[in-house]
Amino acid sequence: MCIYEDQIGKFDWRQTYVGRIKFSQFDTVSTAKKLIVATEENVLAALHLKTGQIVWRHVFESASSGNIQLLHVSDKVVTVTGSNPYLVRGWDSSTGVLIWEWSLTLQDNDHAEFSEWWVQHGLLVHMLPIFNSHIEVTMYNLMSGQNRGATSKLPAPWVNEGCVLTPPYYTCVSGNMGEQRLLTVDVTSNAVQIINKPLFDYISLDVFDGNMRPLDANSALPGFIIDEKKVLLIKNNDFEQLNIDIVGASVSATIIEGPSEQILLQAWDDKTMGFSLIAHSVSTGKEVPEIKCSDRDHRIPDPELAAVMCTKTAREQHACRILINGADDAIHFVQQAGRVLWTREESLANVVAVEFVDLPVSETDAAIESEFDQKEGSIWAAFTRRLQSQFQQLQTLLHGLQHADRAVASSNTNDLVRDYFNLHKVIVLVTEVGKIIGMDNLSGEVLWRRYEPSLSTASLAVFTRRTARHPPLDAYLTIVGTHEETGNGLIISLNPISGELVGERSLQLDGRLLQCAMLHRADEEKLHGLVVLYEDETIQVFPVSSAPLVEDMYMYVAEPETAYVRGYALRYDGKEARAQAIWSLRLGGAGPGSPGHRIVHAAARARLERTHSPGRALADRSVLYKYNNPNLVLFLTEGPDPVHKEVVRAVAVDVASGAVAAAGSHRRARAAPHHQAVHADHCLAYLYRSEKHRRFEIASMELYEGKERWLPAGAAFSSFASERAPAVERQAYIVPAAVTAAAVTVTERSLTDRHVLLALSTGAVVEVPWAFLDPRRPLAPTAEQREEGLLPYAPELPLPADAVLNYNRTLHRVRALHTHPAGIESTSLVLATGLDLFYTRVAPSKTFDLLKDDFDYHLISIVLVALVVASYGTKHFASRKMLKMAWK
Amino acid sequence: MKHLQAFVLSLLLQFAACIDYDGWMNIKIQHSINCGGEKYCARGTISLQSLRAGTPIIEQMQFNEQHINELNELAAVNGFYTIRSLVTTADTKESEFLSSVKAKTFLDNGLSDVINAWVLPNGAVIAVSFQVNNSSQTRLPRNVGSVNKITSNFYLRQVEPAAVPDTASYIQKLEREREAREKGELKDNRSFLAKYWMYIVPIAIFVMLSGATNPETPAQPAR
Repeated sequence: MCIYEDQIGKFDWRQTYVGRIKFSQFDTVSTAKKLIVATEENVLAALHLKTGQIVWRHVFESASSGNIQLLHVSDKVVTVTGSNPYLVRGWDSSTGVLIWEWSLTLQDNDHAEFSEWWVQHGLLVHMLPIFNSHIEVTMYNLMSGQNRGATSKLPAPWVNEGCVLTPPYYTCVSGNMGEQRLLTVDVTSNAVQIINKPLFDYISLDVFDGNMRPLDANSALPGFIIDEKKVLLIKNNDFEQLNIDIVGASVSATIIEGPSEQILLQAWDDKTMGFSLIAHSVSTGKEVPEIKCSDRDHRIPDPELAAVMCTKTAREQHACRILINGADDAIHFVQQAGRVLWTREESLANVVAVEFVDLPVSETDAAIESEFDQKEGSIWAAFTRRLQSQFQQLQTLLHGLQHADRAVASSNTNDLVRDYFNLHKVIVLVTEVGKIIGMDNLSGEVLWRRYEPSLSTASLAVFTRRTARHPPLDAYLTIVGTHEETGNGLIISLNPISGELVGERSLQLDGRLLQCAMLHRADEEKLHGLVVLYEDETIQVFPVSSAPLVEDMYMYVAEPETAYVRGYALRYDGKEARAQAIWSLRLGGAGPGSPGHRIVHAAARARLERTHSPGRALADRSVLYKYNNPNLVLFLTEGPDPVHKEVVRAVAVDVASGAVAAAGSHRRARAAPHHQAVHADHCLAYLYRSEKHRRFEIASMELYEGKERWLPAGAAFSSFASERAPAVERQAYIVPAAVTAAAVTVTERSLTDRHVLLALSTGAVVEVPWAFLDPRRPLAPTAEQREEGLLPYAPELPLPADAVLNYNRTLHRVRALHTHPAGIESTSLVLATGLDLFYTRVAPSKTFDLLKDDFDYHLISIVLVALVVASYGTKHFASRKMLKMAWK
Repeated sequence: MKHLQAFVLSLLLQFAACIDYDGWMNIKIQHSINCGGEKYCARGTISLQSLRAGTPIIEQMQFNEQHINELNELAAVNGFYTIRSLVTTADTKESEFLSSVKAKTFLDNGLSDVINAWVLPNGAVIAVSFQVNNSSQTRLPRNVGSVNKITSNFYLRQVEPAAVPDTASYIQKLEREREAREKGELKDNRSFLAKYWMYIVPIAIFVMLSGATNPETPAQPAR
């Protein structure tokens, strides 16, 4: 299970992320310059300026108590986190060590969410606008939290929701339509001075829709953009209009303190010109020639200037470092001329779906395969083909020998071909913002990325409709989601190896979807059709030519809130494919005095799983046959109960026929927060929180047919021809940790042992053999049970430290674990997603089909050679001795 | 339509104790063949006086020629014979459940099916499913043309409380082991050989070795 120190990083990698940037500032004080960022994921981190790697990172609570309200970087990093009560903390910028901390509770809890914070002259300013009434301003000592005087109230009946803060000024547009006035107050000054000007001094009369936004990226001068056209600055108790035009509506603008003058910087994404950047001098209005770029090939959707720093080089040139935050959550660190120094793909902190895709075989292998495919032709044709392909192989071999060193270098980086054990794959990750990323599983390198702003990822399915096993046809992957605006279905089909759109490309459907599935039979082009079920119970098949292949297809639709589940049979009636509702269940079970349950999770078997063992051998040489129903789905429901407070129910349903195979209810329990149920073969396991004992427990079930088979050996299981209910073995175990995600290992033929992977809140991913979860573990094993290999029952699940997959690499907030079989039976590939990504491979029954990677090839060849030499040597000496003996 | 009572099976009495609640239950069974325009029409009823006792009274109609013909038509296209159950209990409103069996298997089995109703401890029903046996098994003789009796086996199944971590008995077991250890050595009921094999085997080997070398020594001075 555990690895040696020299194996670290050999077949695993970890990538750490921080999430979408909320606040960012340059740390210019400490010797090693850094970027300090605070994110939507409640992470405070320092990024290295040269590489973009994380120098230090703090992950706060994911609940609202961890929300970061303010980031202020001076000689120390100051943050305000939480939402009433607030925590004000100071961090050392070079190490990230917490220096001081004090807490603050606001009396007025109702308005606390409108709080604004900033730091001014070493004081923490808290401003609370009460709309249409007044502004409350309180100042605290930054280090100690001592209140400098009481809260001051500024009467301001003109305050409304549309006001903007450009510290220390608070600006509003107030008044009736047509005679609006622009009002600003410096909320920190002792003498209240309100600047009150008619709005239409600054913009034309007829068009104002109340659009006003402050300048981005900690602007050097307090200012705001009004009506997406003009920049107004607040200077010397008056508004000052900049005579520089704003380029467009979605421009991000800021004023920076340049080395000699103040510069207005604008960044936007031009439809034709790509990412563009322009700068003007604030005082003269002239363009700054060095800071300019427009890059056709570089596209950043809705770029936002997050942080800018400019210095002057020796040759009196501007040297700027600009941090750009895109709508796709990627952050780019660019130079003044637009050269990208580094990019961080922060959308990967929110992965919603993962699919492992096989790589195509190399060209030579494909040639060999095609040789065997051609069945027709005479013996001579086959013979010449064989000679040709052998010649080709010889050529490539010679070629490979000639350029041996060069070939090694290139194959490591960009040769996307299948390796001998099929361990090399492409991982397709779909992220919450709608970014689809292809990743090399061995290196963790991003191969391609595609941003689909219209893809809403609340419910999502990914299907590999054609693997790369059919050259010359390319692999084909389809993502089914919903459209961001209309809520209708959205299908995105792409080649997972290259990331290019293929087939249906990006297709918006005409209706809302209930369910989607992939046909189990492929068409002539080896493409599996995609079936979608609309809300009006009609179905559509992609491509249309696959409709006749719809046969013996079953789908189920579960409504999470009502726990109403219904099943459909799909068939092709000669003209079109139709869906017929054939069963329905009410798992919510709204009874007297108790409202219904809601479905928390539905766990089906892994699509790739094939079971090859029909039963389990017992000690008396008889076989306990498994109930091997491929259509079984485990539904976990949760709901209140009048007697037992909360109840979690687990119901195993055959989703083809709608028959319930097993059910159980846990009293005084809550479902685990994430999807934590695993289902493989005849084994089911799920996690829940026992409220009575305040701990996590894992319940396991195994379904058996009994000691006799229901069906003759080799017969296929049919959901519609079995009336018998399986025997259910159950057991529950205490998990001495908080679990955030669970998965089960998958191997090519399911012959290897099964291990359950549990991600813990401590940041570890633990591998637990199924033998520990086996519901047949007896309390006092008899000799027979011991012979069978059953462990004696112990109520607590052991989580030994050497079972931690990610050794000392802590993984924060693991949300899901994904497993996929490799080409060799012993190995299963594992990817943990969450705030961090972690990839490794596990061998549940040890690598029985693989030589150890420290296998000593030299030693064994030396021994072999030595043996041969020794045997010939002894033969020689023996003959000499014989000769001598003969002479005697 | 005459009604005929079907087989009555009341299994699961042993689980009756775990039900928190008792009351009556009534299931109206409707199907979708020979309904004359309607989508569903009555096939029969199942009523239970007490969920705890679980003894059902099943009344179902007989199929006539028309029913069989329609079933045969469905079977020809490998279609489904769909049944709708309307469940009413003492405290809940009527709730609807759908279930289907393959028409062909249903016919092959001589119109016999198995009905499973799953009941929660609070008396609510979560599923009523109809299933048909594998046709390779016992096939009842079908009398064509005359009475076609539906044979239904009804099972009332409870959603039982699931297993909980069994700490009490584990602690008892540890306790017992500790006591046994304190009382003195654990009673060893292994056989003599099993107990002392590690001493016997070396002695045996030693004896064998010495026995094997001894006879050769006197044979030496032959020449």
